[in-house]
Amino acid sequence: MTAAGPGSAGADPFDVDAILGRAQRLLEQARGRGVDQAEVYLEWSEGLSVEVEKGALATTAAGRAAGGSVRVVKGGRLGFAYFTSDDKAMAAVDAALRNTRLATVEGYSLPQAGTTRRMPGRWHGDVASAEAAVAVGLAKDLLAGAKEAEPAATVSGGGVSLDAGCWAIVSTEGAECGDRSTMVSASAAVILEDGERAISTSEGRSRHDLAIDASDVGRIAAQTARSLRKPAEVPAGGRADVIFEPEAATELVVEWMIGAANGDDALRGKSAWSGKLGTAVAAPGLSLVDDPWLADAIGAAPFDGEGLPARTFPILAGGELRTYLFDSWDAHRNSVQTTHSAVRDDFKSRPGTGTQHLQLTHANAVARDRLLADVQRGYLVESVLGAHTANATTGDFSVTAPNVWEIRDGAVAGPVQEIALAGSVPKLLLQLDGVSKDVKRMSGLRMPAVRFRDVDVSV
Amino acid sequence: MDEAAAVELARTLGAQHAEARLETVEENRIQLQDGELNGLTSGVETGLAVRVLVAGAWGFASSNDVSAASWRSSVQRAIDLARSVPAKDRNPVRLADAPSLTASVDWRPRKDPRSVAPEEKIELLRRMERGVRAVAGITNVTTGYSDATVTKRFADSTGTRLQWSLVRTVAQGHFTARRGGELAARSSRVGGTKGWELFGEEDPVAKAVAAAQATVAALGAPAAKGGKQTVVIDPELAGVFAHEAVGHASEADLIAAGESCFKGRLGQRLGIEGLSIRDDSTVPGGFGSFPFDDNGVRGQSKPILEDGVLVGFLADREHAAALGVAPNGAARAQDFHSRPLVRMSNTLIAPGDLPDEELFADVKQGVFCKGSRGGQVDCARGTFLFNAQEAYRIEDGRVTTPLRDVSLTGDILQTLHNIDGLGRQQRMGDPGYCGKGQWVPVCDGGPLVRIQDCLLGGAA
Repeated sequence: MTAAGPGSAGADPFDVDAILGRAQRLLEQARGRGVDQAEVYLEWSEGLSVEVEKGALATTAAGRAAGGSVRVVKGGRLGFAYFTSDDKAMAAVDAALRNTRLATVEGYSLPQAGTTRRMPGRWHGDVASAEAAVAVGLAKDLLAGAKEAEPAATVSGGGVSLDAGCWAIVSTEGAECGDRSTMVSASAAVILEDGERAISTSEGRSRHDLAIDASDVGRIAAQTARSLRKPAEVPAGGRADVIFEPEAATELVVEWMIGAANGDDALRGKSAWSGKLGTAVAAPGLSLVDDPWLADAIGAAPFDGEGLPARTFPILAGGELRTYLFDSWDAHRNSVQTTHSAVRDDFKSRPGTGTQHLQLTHANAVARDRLLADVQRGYLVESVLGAHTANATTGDFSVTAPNVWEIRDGAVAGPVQEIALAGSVPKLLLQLDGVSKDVKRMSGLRMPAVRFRDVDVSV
Repeated sequence: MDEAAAVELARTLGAQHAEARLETVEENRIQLQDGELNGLTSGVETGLAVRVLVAGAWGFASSNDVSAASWRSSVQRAIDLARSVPAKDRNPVRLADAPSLTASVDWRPRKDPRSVAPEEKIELLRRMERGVRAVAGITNVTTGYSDATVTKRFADSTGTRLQWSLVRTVAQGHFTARRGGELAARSSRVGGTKGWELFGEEDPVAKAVAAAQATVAALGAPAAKGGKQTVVIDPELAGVFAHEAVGHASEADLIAAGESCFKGRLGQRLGIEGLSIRDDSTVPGGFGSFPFDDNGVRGQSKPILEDGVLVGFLADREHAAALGVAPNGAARAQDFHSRPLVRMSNTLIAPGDLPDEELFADVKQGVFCKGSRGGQVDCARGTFLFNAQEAYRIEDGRVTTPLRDVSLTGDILQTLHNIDGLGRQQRMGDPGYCGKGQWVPVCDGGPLVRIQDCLLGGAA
């Protein structure tokens, strides 16, 4: 994938020292334009992908992008602007300076740099330099895995992508961070005819290196589809125990928890967890930790989006809310300290508050079979439709579970037709009574299956 | 080098078909949070995209470096990628014919938002906040403004040479109400493919205030009872139903892949007489409107259901060929980094003939749902879900007390048959963004719609 970076013909665009050097040069230029403080962020990214459609390989694509942004402080006021080439960086500095004049928050200072350390295992040169044949081979493995598991299944979407990125943050307050990482992802959306209707399932996986088992991704998606054939009707709704598989639990529960733990929202009173610091907000024993230093933490980085050293800290511990999340901006507005929780979407957006790599655990986690064994009558939910429509503030949700099995007498009895689930995530967390020891490793988190008691089910 | 030269180079290098886009987006974004300026961003990005068909295989390359060297390397990259997939591992791509076009279209706003000072934009948000703060019970207000000026140039190997530009402008708010331990939240949005004149046509302050009042009214409201009920949905939610349940199912790529419950049903009756749904990228000022799609095909109105009968699909050139239909301007790419996919624009249910009060009059017990918090569809299975921002009981034909936000879900084909009433007044809903691996601006709308036996998610 490697190609020359912008303004550096023939150079390796993933050379961290080179991108740091460019950022330092731009920072020096910014100092001369009347700023009190400045921060320069630069990134370079390349991607290669092979899409899959109708059981065959489809579009093969490649993209590359370069860009950067500046944050400047003048008189305690913050301004931001972005640019796509170094020759436009000072125009961005001037624009950011103009924006400071409109700022209403005063007294802000860019964060003081800390000492960052290396986070090994995230850069694999063979991913960055891979030819298209590597991605094509993985995509063929994905198709073969699905076909082998269920010949009647068709991989209708998904594919394989290989991405590489390099970035740097430098500031007048001593930040000088550069890093690079690679990511290999495989996903499969599978369709399986089932009488007049079709079953659709999906599976995905990411790693930093090329050791991804794409065949297994296709196989799991196809096997799941096969296990959902000929679903029985659910005769009546009511309250039932529900076990969410890791993806479903992530979409419905963990995404909401990240928002609820946002410190700025919480301190403004607009989170269901406002005023709950130090109190029980989930079942005893449940912990949620942001731990970028976990071995093989996919998607983590050694520093946050402002160049501060990545930290491990509990959001929940033993069911108790321990920490609200802040980047330096949110921290300043609420007169607290940053938790080093700044994240960046891309160079066109300011850093915001988020998480690096979450891990949900329970003091009494059990094997997945035990999680099922304790359910007399309930459902095992593989995916939910409409999780993003849940009320991000209150946590009220009303979703459909299209891929679901009935649990009877401690075992999976068979697939059933879709059910509707409703409730409130904050209340659901108090009804949680079990998580599995087995976890699914995903980009940005590590997640077990989760069991909740007495969930409202409609049919 | 430009997009036309890139197409010529691709042809020289062996492409049977080539298309090239050059896109520039100039944007301004502002956010106020509880009166504080929380973000003010301005920026411009330009990028190129090259897509080639070589021996029936697609190759695509993009970059935000638009130098001549980058154009050349992107063309070569796209060609190499197309050649990297062995013929035995892919389905050969054919393209349906489309007329070769040469045009330059400038959807110039009456008042270019780039000419409006940031102070004036901030003042608009402050007026929204003041209006909302006057509603007792509101505790938090976040407001946002954005404008994006998009310029595209497109060339392909059929000889099409297009240039167009448009402006999309949005003002939105998110409001939280709290009473004791009870929380409620709602949002409002005004937007269109328009400039600053938008705010003279539709008052974002009044809309925000109405949303804030509904937020406070929802405090302490009980959850809806789950199960099948008679439901009346407002024009905004009717539009979301048209988008989620019908629009997605009519996308030609999903039909060709066997991922839509509409496959094989062209010409079949799917709903009552009078139920007509179309997707229309020519709606003046519609948030999803555009003059040309990203295949270089003219934007148009595309009938999907006419009097309850499935009459058409949304198709790009590739999937039109696969289905044996004509491409109808439905190819859209999120940005230059993305290849075009089959997408909707503005999806509309045609008005019916029932006075609004008559739609409610026959309902002894039911639920009235207003506003959308988004939806999702599983087209293969034929299941949809969308969530209302507001919900109220209907008792003996009257709209009465509020309920906590509820979702409507069901089987697409069954639900279309369960629609038994359409109001007379059609209205566009709020602008939004549709996700299908890529995000594109869309809008939808319709009249009041009554649905029998609709499954509500709620308390058991």
